[in-house]
Amino acid sequence: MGKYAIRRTLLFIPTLLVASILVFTLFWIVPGDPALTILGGGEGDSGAVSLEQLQQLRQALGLDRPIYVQYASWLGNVLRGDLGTSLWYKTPVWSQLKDRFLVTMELAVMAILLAVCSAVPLGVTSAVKQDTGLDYLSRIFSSIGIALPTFWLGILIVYALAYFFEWLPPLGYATLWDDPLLNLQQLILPALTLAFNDLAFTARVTRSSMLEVMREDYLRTARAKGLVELAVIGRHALKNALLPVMTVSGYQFARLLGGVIIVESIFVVPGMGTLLIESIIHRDFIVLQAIVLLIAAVVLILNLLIDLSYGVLDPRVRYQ
Amino acid sequence: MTGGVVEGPVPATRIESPTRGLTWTVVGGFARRKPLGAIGGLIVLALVATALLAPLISPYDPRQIIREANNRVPVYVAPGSAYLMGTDHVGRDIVSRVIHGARISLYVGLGAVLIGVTGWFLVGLASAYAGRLVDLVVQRIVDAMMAVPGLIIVLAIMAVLGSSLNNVIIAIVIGMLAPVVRTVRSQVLSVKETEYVVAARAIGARSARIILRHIMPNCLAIYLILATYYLGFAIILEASLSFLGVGVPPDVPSWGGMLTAAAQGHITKAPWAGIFPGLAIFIVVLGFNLLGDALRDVLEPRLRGARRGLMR
Amino acid sequence: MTRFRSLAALLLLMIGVAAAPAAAQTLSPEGQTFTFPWPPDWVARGKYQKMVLRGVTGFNPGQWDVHACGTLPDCLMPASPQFNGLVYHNPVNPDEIVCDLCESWTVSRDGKLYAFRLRQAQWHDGQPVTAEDIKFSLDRIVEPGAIRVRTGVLRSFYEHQSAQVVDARTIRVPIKFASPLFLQNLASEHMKMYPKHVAQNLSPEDAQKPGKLIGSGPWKLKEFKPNISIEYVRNTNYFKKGLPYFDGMVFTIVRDYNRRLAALQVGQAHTTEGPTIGSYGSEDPMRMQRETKGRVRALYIPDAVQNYLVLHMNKPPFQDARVRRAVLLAVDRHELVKIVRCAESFGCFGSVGTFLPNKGGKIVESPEDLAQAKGWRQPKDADIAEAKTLMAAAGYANGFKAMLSVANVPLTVRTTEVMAEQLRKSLGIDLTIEPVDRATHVDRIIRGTHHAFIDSSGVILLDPADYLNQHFLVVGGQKNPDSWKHPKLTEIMQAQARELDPAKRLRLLKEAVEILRGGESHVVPLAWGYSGGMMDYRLQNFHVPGSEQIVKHFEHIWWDPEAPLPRN
Repeated sequence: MGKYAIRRTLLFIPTLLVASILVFTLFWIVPGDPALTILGGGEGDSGAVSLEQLQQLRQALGLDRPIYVQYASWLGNVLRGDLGTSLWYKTPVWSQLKDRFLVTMELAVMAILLAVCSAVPLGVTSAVKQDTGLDYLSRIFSSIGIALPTFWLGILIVYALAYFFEWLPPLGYATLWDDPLLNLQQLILPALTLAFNDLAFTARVTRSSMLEVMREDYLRTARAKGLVELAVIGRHALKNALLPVMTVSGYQFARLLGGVIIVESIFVVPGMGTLLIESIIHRDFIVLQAIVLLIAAVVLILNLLIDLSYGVLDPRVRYQ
Repeated sequence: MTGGVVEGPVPATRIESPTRGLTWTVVGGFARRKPLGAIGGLIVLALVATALLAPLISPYDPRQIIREANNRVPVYVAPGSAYLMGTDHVGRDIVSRVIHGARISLYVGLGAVLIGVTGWFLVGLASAYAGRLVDLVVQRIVDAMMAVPGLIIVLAIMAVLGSSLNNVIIAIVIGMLAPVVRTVRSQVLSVKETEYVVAARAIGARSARIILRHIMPNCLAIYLILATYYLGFAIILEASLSFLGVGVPPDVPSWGGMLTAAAQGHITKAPWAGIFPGLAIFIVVLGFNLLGDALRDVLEPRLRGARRGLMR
Repeated sequence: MTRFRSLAALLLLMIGVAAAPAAAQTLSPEGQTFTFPWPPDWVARGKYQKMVLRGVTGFNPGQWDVHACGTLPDCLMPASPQFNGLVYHNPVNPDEIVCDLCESWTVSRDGKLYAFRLRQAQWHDGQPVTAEDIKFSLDRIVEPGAIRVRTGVLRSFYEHQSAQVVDARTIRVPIKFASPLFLQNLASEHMKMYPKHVAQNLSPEDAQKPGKLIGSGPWKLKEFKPNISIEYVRNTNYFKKGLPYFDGMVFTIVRDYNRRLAALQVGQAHTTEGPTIGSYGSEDPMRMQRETKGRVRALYIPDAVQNYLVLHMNKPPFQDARVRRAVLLAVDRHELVKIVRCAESFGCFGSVGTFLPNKGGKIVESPEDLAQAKGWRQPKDADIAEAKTLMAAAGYANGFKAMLSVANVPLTVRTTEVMAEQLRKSLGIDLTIEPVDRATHVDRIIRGTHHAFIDSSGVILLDPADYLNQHFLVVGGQKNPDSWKHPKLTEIMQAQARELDPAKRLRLLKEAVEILRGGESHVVPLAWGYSGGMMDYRLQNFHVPGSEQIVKHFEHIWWDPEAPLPRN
């Protein structure tokens, strides 16, 4: 297992490299560059920039160098631990990123916890009481969770709050250690919005996994032995059923980071999602590359941990 | 359906009946045992019917700005006798746009599934069955794509290709690569390691025969389930792309586009402009999911040895 | 006593002799002097409150040097409150240009020499504002080779390093030719004065960073937290005694439009950014006013932003002038405004697209003119018939397909949808509309990848000539990508810039419009839109300016907790 872990960790490097090259190339192809966004006008204000001025700024920013030179220079800096300076804000990337990263992680973790804590009981109940009214209700509920686009749910929540309760979470972000109450107030709604979607998936997986496990022979043995149903479920079935749930939650986390982007902009959470959108709009590819690296690293580490723990917890599984 | 797969709802005594009776009995049995799935199926049928009959049943051209008698343009008119679902921000009939939107949703969903699920399915299959090196390379690509937020990839693709329906499909297909390949691969791998296949190999059966007799039927089930889910997923992804500003052109009546246009103005001024397309998306995706659920319930017990369950 | 008196007399004589050379250099007595004593009467009415003004903004500033940048919401608006110009638009009467850092100015009779006398002011670090700083700032603005997107226009008036410092508080600025537009340009919010001792040590990149450049203005930048907020703190040493009337300002950055509206609705913010800007140029502020029963006050700048269509002339079909003319004729501007810019029970928030903005009290295109002009007159049957003939002559009797790019701004996209539908219906032109983000849009414009694009630009100067300058002065840039030129138009543009007689100038501008109405240029005006915003009713003394580019100091407004709720 140790060898497996080391081998997987070593595979990080080519994966991260591929990811960074992918993003770099993509943004090379996409029309527009940072010089255009800096000089070219914002909303309702079409700029009057001339080609000479654009060229001048491009040279100053180093954008007229060939792409492989720019990539190599960026890579060189990263290997020395320097994530670079934002082309838009002109401040070091790391200083912005570390604060935002914590915010997004806090939001994602909250969402996953909320989802799992409500999805597992829902899924288990649904499986145990299969094809009864309770099962149908919970399946409809989880189907709703999948069918409702996250951004629509978020907009509806903001609208409902403002119109029916005349209350909105306060503007201006506070970190968890500065002001926990304020922080929770600001994050609970986006976390719930994200959790709703995740809950649906997790409940569904729990249910199907539970159903499968419940059919297993060893449970029949346990029942035949005279064990009460609750004990059957609690002692034997649940443990095994939860393994796939854990795995799925890990993959869900990566997907959650996608939903975080939308939810952050609707609920005004200053996390990595809004930074990502900003850097795409501003074509600030230095910040973009840093974000991609960070997210990729997190996702890869998470996947590795899950795969390793799965191997530990389920002795039947063999590794490739 | 291929023999050896469907055993459930059809009682043994009915095997001699003519094919048409068999199909209806299968359907009827399915509906009786899985009412939710039947509802899902009905919804899907309604979607297909609406999409096919759109030009016949829609009262107006969906891109046409309605000009009434006294040169008045009905902007943001509430639902009523004149316009069943009201009108939108430039005076187009919402019913017509929702109906034609069914076409677009079906087109996007089918396109994404036929190209995406089929294509990546084959890739996943190949990756699980081909040699170590192929598998390693494919896995690295999948890992990299899962690690990069799909949003970036999709936004970049749309920005380069331009906003059109076909480009939306391409973007969705590429966004589907990682999850589909990964799921299919893990399913095939676990089937590969089951007792049947091991036993078959032990008695000397050739790979092709193993694939055909044991793996393919299971894969068909996996494919069907993935297809129904991703149809819904594609529709939601199209809506999200529109929300982020890189969907189809704004006058094309896609539900996602209509939802976005409603969300960009102040949503209280004409809630119907967002509610009806939102409801349409919701019902259709719900339908696909219910159908997929029911299909999986029926087919999954057949997926022998799939220990991890169908992870999505 | 006599000795003292004669000593005093001698002293006076010496002063007189010393002053004589200066007196000999004074401008001719027929030159006009404009003096602006401080304080004006409204200052005493202002109430200082120990509170922080809360606003919302949708933009993240990236540049803080207004000399170099050209964008409004992410550069000018956040930076402006820290600085003063030499002159500026009177915040309580925004059509009028008054002194900001100056105390008075004198114009020579031939109009080519301006002398400014400065007030006693100091920079945020305590150093006094001197004429050297003014000279430095003017030279920095016209610095050859530097990127000057908006301020570069001053180069056509002022020669680099030609200003003369007379003494610590007097400076003489010669301009190349007498023009009514020099002061208008100098009063722009981009023409801010920087301290020489700070700015001369900053590289262009450093100057763009927040807090590096300091000013003399009512607010000091306290902290900029990217994507969270922009915080200002009161300049307690502001040379305009008594101002500003708050302890600080905080603008929270909220990207989502609905969330910003909601923030004002529940009272989380007192004001929008600007406080007026194009994105609120619909009935939404009015709706908010109604729903909050007057607590939130709607503000509008009429006809502040123009939406227009630009046709690329570098390839067919719009290469053909007949096709361009057909499009100009066929667009139904009245219907466009009715659909996009009007709302039932609220009224209209835009007007039919004239070429030049009717600003600064000068009306070049009156409603009567428009009622008869081809392309603008109603009903449109005659114009559409002519357009069809032109299309047929050009070989497009059945229309054609083309690609149209537009920036992803909701109101602009709506305008595009309506225009496209009209052209499809009347001429068979099927436009594929591609909404994209700003960067992609500008890139497409410059490369000319599409056939046409829709854009919007705001009024900058309160002068009709502003339009001509924006679209036809810079050849081959964002606004005129295919370098369209018309020799007579160029002549007129140069002539009107020097014409001091208002009546003659108006006639020249009318001539320019006639040429443009010919439909040969790349620009097809569509509609003018309002710029909008919202403020809490207790904020007093804000007077809506004629353009969203002026009055950005927030120095003259105060909070009156006892203000009566206005009747709707």
